[in-house]
Amino acid sequence: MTALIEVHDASVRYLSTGQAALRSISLTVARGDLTLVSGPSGCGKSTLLRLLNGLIPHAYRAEVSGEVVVGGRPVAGRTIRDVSTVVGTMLQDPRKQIVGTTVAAEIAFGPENLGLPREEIRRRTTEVAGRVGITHLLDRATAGLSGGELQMVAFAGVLVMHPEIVVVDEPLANLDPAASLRLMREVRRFVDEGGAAVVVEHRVEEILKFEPAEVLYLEDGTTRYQGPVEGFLRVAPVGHVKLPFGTLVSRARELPAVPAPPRREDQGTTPRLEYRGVALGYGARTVLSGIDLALGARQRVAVLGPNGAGKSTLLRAAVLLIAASRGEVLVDGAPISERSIPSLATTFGYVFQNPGQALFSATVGQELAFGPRNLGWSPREIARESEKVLRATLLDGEKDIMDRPPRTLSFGQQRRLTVALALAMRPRTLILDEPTAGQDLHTTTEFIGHALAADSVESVYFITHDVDLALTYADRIIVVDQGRVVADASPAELARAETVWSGAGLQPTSLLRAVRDHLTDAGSIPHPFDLARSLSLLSPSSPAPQEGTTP
Amino acid sequence: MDVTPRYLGAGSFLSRRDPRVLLLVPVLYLVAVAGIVDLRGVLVCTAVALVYYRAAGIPWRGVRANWAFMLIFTTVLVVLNSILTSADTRSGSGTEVLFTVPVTQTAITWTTLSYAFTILVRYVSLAMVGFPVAFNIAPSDLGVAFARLGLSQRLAYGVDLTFRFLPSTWASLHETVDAQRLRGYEHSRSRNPVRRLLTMRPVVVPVTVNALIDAEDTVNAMDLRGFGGRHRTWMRELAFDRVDYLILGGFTLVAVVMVTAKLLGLTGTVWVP
Repeated sequence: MTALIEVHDASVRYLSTGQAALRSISLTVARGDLTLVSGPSGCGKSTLLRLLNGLIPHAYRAEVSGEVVVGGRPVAGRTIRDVSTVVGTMLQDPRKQIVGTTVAAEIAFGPENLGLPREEIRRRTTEVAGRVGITHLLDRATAGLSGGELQMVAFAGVLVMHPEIVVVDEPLANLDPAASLRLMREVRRFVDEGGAAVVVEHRVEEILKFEPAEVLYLEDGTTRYQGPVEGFLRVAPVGHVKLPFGTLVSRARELPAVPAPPRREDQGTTPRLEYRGVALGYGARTVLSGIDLALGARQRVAVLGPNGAGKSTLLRAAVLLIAASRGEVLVDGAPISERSIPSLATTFGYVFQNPGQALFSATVGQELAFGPRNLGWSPREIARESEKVLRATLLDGEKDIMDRPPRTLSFGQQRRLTVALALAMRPRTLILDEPTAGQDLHTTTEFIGHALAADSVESVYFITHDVDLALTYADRIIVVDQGRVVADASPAELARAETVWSGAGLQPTSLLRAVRDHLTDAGSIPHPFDLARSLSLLSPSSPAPQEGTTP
Repeated sequence: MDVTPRYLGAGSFLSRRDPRVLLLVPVLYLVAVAGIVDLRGVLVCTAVALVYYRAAGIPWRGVRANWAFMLIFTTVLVVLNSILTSADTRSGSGTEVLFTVPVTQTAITWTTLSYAFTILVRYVSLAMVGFPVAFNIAPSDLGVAFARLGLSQRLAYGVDLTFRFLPSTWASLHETVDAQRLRGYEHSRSRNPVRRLLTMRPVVVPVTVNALIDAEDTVNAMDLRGFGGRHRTWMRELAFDRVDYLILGGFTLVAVVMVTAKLLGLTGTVWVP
């Protein structure tokens, strides 16, 4: 069968940074293939996608060697517009991809650009909207769509161009599991009907159920593994890739030791944050109502739920970014209305999802000093605290870190810096909004580990879509859905609550099933590596998987 | 605050017009009233503008605040330009000094007052023909309207994109303000504009940098869907009907008459009753 994508010995070096992003990569994708590309952050996955869809060399200044052939013709001699009729691209964040003000206008955008006749565009729009189940949305404004709806609309906008291949960048990064998996089902269907797909994703486990034909695993721009899934599961670095729990059990001897984050007793203390009959919303729109919760001063609480359920709204009330329209919010037993936002900054350190949201200073030192200076601290105090938080977030090892412009740090380092900025105000509780979205397992483990281990921090409350992250690091999980709290339990208890996993935008994972099947006591659960080690002693090892190539 | 474009005049007579009519009328009207200082001429044009504005069917409640802002702003502008300073009123009559403005010592005559009122009415009438552009064109029609008026495809679609990304840019601004408030940031209450501007740095820098990064992604996404070719189909079909031609013809006539009157020197002098 003729290959739709043929990459031969391709290397890419960005001219802006002078750094090599890919070295000697080869890849063949034929009709009916779904290829998974995985690897840690910064390994060259996005560069590979840009190579396939023509953004490199046409939109990014880069030196390319080797050959990239798409649809039988080299990409180098074609325009992006020409390549776009063969390769459809789904960006990680559909919000950046959607340009139409209405769903119908959005879907029609590509065919309009190709100059197709109006009748043909109308026919294609109707056909593709029906195919992905969004006909009822056609007249809706895109600004009012949910995250899941936006992703399906963006995919419809890709399919309407009648591509032969779709490349999908981290479909699980920004949305709740149910919405992301809806998209992946459509991608699989596209492949089954004669197309091909290349999916970039850290979270290998969730993609495996869509039966990729091949896995390409990259590290530092080079191929570390290329071949069938079975072989990949045998050689994938266990601390860096999120693998199915069964694989962890079968490779238990290779699992690294994971230091347990310090646990703090939370008995008999006044709740740090309490909601009494609270309703929260924006203007006339109520997002959450009937909230009665008491979050402990020494607890690790995860908040799970689908996009738009009100997870962030719930915790933003803790720092007065939103006021209760009904009921009362208390901090350390006192009504929050008696506090100001600056005074709450030393109680709660709120870390936003996007690290770029707050970075504005010329140097890391100035960035760290901004908050404490606003609180009136002395320069000596600020300097001492800055050093301390850089040590706590392991940023102190970076050369000349205090004089570095914050935005020149890598994305993972920027995320750690945002934790350092919050810690510099000496909060007693950290609130993390989607702390690990789009991050590989290693970065996630490192980031959350620093947050949980910070000396001065008594409690951590975090918002996430990642079920395994909640199970692993929280000692209490709250599930929010359709404007109310639908579950509030320990991880082990929640794992057994069947009804929760069939709704609330959640999907059971292999870790969750293992917890359900093998842990009988309530409360926190051991780290997945520790659980896998203990279970491996009870079960025989699995048969050797099929080999791939590991250069 | 909702920053999504407000399509307030939906269903009205003007909203049923080709959007190009709504873009061209203010241009023609501006040509008609520019440089006219005779209040009678401006009042005639204003009557036409009022009829046009009524046809827009914009609910008063929806634009009350806009009108209040516009009136306050233009009144201040007119008072500063024509009453507090000595405006060139080009009139031979009505020079009797009614009173003198303290501090500036500007002598106020009937001519000054007539001139100031003319300017104010001119601004108000321009707003009357301008408001339908903001409230009677469906946001999704703006790009195609500009494209069909000869603007390049990229610039025309840029207009569409502006409206598409206004809400998300506004949300990003809010998010940044929230993030900085949690670090003790407060808006400066200083009267010094430079100091105020400098203290806005913690908000302006991240919002600008994030907008530029997001814009790069969006530009890439558009390129990947074939944007930028020479020929583009616009799904929205625009065609002038007879009423559109009548409206454009009417305003062209008003413009021609007023320009002719101006060239003949009939409207270049301040009218004093």
